[in-house]
Amino acid sequence: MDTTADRSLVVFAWGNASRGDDGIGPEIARRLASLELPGLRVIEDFQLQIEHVMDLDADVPALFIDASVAIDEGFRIERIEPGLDPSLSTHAVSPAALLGLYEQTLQTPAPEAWLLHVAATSFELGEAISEQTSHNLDAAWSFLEQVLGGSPHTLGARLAAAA
Amino acid sequence: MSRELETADNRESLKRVVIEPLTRVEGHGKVTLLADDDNIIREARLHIVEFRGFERFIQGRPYWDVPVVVQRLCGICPVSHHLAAGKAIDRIAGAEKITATAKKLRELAHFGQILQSHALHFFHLASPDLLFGFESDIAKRNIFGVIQEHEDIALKGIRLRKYGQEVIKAILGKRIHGTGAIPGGMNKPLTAEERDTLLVDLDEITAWAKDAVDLARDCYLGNEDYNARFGSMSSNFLSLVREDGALELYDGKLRARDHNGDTIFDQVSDQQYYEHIREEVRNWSYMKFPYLVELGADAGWYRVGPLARLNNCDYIDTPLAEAERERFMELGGGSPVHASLAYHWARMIELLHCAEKIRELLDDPVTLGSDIVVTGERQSTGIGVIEATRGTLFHHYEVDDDDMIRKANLIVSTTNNNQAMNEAIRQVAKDKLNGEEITEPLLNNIEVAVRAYDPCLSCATHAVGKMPLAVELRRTSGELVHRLQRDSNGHYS
Repeated sequence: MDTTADRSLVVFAWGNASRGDDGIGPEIARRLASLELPGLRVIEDFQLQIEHVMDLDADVPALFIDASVAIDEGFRIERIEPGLDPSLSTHAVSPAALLGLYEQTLQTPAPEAWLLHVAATSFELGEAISEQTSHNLDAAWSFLEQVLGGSPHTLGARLAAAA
Repeated sequence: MSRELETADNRESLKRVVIEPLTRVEGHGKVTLLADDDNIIREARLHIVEFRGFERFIQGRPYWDVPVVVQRLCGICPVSHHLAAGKAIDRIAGAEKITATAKKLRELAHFGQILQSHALHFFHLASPDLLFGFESDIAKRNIFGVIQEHEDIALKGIRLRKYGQEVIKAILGKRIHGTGAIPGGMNKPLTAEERDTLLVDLDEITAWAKDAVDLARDCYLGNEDYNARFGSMSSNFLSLVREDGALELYDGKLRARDHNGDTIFDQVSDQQYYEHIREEVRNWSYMKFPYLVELGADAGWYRVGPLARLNNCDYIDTPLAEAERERFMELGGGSPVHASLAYHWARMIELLHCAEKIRELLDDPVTLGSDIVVTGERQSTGIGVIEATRGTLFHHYEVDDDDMIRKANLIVSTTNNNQAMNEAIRQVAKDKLNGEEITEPLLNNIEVAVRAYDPCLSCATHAVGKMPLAVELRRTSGELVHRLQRDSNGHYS
């Protein structure tokens, strides 16, 4: 069991590997896990859910990674703040809402957090990641390798500089 | 059981209201409403387009691989698909009956799944509406508003969900992509250490489940007349039941009752489901409309899920949940309970039942047994039916001589409730949506009606940015009368 002191970054990467470009999250999670970096905790799931609150820690920066249609190409990293989801009809939560839920339920300030968008376009069942999105994925991965390349204890600072 | 408001006369001359959260990949449905010049709703339809391509995704794969791959059909109920497929694959492997230990292990995973899913729905999706009212200030009608007034409710929801997932992880090996069910049984036993870990929090979990029933009951009865009318309808009900009539979620016989509670059929083997259930295709919907053969396409639609299961069963075999079921059934005064919003109360009674059953299974030494696989003579067809979180789930496979799936047919729970959800929005549309202005509270009434059925609209993806909800009211000329849009940040414009 790792402890807060052992970790310097928690990464949430989610999606469905059988839903075309939605497989970006699981693919990045796989690559990150294979690095076996000290201080890096990788959490993969189908969707971001309320119970992931229990995987957050106020003292450990969080990086959320998902396929995104909010950008047209490449990738983008942005700082996110605690927020609220608009719809109660969906069974998933947004990263901002997860941070908000963390603050409300645990009465603790949320950790610093970033969202890495990787541009995606196609989500058909049974499809692999599309060619264009594969390029976006590779670009995002290069960025992550660069950011993760230094000391694990200053990861948060490097992400902040990149956002 | 008519098709009132499904298709309007002279629909070309009507103005169209579209409630469209969406593109297809986002994981939601779409509601279209047609209104006449007097702003009276003449047609209301719910479109859910997520359930395409399931069969094609499965066909051509080796049959033993199916329980694993079907988990990717849905990010919300992968365990339900895993177990339904597992039951079907048992049959193909010639294992008509698996060992007592294997069955208990699967039941444990199943109860863990239903517990965590019901907890998410009630505490985080439904409770804001139930506690504050459907048309209350949206600034308050959310989980944060709930936390302000019921400080611990969100945390209980999270911990109930987390507990259910710990049960799943113990049985299936992983929280997602688990591999527990294999042809003829399970791939690993439960250790005493794993059992003891699950027992630690179970008293607290059961107490919280009991609290949840109390809260759901109080919410319903606190505004009973309104809740009984909202999105209400008269319908048939379908579910599995045990041979003695008890509530049964993992394995049982099919029972259908009509709107009066009279039996349409009972103790039908799940292996013969296709003799009693057909699916109708309608030209305006991707999702099929199942019906009972005995009553035909128009009158034979039915509801599944928690409300159907409580209406159909004769009793529940765990004491706390049975006491709550008896109180719940008083609502119907000897007849079935028909209110859509009663689903929430029924759902929490099942949550309590699951907690009790998990205790029962963990206390049973058979659950820790090591005899977990049986073999038999290979068959070419396999059918698996379970009561998934949202209702009856059918998996039906045919396999060729090379062990590949040649044909697959799935009827998922949300498809079983397709007609019911359409009926619910029509009731709400008739009562609420006849003005020229589309307001957020009106829109939310539609969502509340659909949400009662906890439809699994999440089989697709939730990519960042795919969460808008737009409503447009147009005249036949194309003139925009009013538009309401909810963007990905929750802002209305």
